[in-house]
Amino acid sequence: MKKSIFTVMTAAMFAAANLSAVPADAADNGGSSRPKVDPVETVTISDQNWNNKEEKGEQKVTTTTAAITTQELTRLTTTSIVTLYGPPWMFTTTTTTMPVLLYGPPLTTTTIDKELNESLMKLKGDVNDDQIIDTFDAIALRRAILFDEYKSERAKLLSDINSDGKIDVTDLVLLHRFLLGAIKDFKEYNSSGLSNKTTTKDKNKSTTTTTAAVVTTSYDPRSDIVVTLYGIKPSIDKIKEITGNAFDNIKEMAEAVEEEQQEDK
Amino acid sequence: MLDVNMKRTHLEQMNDYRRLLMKKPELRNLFLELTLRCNERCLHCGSQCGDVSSEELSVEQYRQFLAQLKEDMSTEGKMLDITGGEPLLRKDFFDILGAAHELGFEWGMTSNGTLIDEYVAKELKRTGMKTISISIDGLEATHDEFRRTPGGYKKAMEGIENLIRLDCFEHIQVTSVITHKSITELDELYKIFNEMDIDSWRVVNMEPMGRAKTHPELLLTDDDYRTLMEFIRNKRIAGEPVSYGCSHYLGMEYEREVRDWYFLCTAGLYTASISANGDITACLDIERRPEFVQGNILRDRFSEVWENKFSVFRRDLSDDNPTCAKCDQKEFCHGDSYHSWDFDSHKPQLCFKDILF
Repeated sequence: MKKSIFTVMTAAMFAAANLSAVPADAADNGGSSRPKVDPVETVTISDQNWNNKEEKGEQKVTTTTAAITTQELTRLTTTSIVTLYGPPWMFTTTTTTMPVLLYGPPLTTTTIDKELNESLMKLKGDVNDDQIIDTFDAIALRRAILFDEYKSERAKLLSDINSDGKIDVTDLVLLHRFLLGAIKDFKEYNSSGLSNKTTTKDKNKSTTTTTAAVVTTSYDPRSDIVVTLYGIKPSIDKIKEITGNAFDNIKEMAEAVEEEQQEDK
Repeated sequence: MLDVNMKRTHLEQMNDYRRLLMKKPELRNLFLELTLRCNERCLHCGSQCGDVSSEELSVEQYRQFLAQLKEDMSTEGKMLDITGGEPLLRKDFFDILGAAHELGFEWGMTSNGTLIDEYVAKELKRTGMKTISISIDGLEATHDEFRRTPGGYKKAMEGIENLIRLDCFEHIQVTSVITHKSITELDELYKIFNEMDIDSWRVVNMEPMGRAKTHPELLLTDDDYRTLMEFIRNKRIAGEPVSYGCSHYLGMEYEREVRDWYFLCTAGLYTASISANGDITACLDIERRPEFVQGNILRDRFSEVWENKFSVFRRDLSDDNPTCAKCDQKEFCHGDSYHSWDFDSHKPQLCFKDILF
């Protein structure tokens, strides 16, 4: 079956809610088939010597890349919702108090050298690693999301535009907006910079709370297309699918021209 | 499960939107039932199609109707959804759809796929077909038995391949109606479809309507329903283009998770249908009762019927049933899909409360 940007976005929506494909009975309280979840795990990226200052005690930026709780790790609650259709490309990240999440990937913490992180931020978005951020990077990022293909390990790092440790449609949204001039700098969208995270540990349990998140326009469910039978969508929706954010610009331009014409009359 | 509070907020928005659509409906999907004749005799057929006689409109009658529709309501944002019976049984099929294409309508169709050889596939391309959904209801033996057509599976699969080879259609979908018998075949079916270059797989349950009412043993059990939903959700989590259909409110657990939208029965709001004899109604799956026929295109102007009649479809059926009226999901479900309502006993024939939520 064909993968499309929509299937990727659907998966991203679930991933953002920390869902993984497991049987339903795994969610039953006390069910024996509930997957055992590893405790907090630290991932060290060893290649390219980009994280070799740890021993010197230099300052680090810590990014939580996937949220998961067990009954001991209660109330870690970062939920990202990605819109599947409808302009503009947008997403909402909300932080709420939720009951225990029952399944999902283990919590991983990526520690990045602060100085390197800042230098990386200047190059974020250069997905094809050619020293220029342009439309070709958007194409490369789409391919990266769909097929997990990267020009290099460095390109992979530069693809994580919001530095949340995941390369997904959220990064694509940011890159689109950057290319359209809607945002000037990815720094303000650096999730590590926005997050206000505290972690406490004792012998028996750990508690992690994330209290800040990227804030954008809210999702409108009415923009979803109800597909009656065949996966049919009216033409306008296909146009939006193809043009992405550009649709809004075209629409605005068309409306402006129409207004001008009416004024002329 | 995705965040419940988020879903509740979205469903409340959908409720407001539904109220708006009741006042200002927006035609998006117009179903044309070209015939009731069919070369298969499926056990689940909601229209009792098969080797039956069928009143049918002529090419010229369709041409006049579509020209009038375009004049009154334009072609913009509308899809013609061609269905039957098996629509390709009509010898003048390409004349009808050629006329629709010339007028500027976009169209898609549902078919059993058995008649789509290379020539037919090319003709579908020539006459502007955008999307198609072909039925594969189980593994080969199950499919052929269910549709009471020996060799039907092989022919349908060949039909799909003929379409894929042309590489020109916007969306090629496979639809599977799952029964209590075929629920165990989901994984095997997935393996087969995953190897094919189709755009999506729509998985729906056998509905207790039409001919299916005489085969209650094939209806899904409560456990089957849960298995079905969980199967779809897991595929979607993995990024696969698998989806449940438009039927039924699924509750907080599965709403928005097994399909790309929140529940909204579009009958009379987005959707209208022209049955084989020209009768105008909302959705072809709704029980065929005289009170639901709002006009006929041979004597009425469709746009006037759409604008001024149809009030029977623009209301909440849940108001007719005391249990539904008191249900805490009423504002999201509204009595569920119109086609699934039992108009004799005034209750839904299939309600997922206490099954899925």
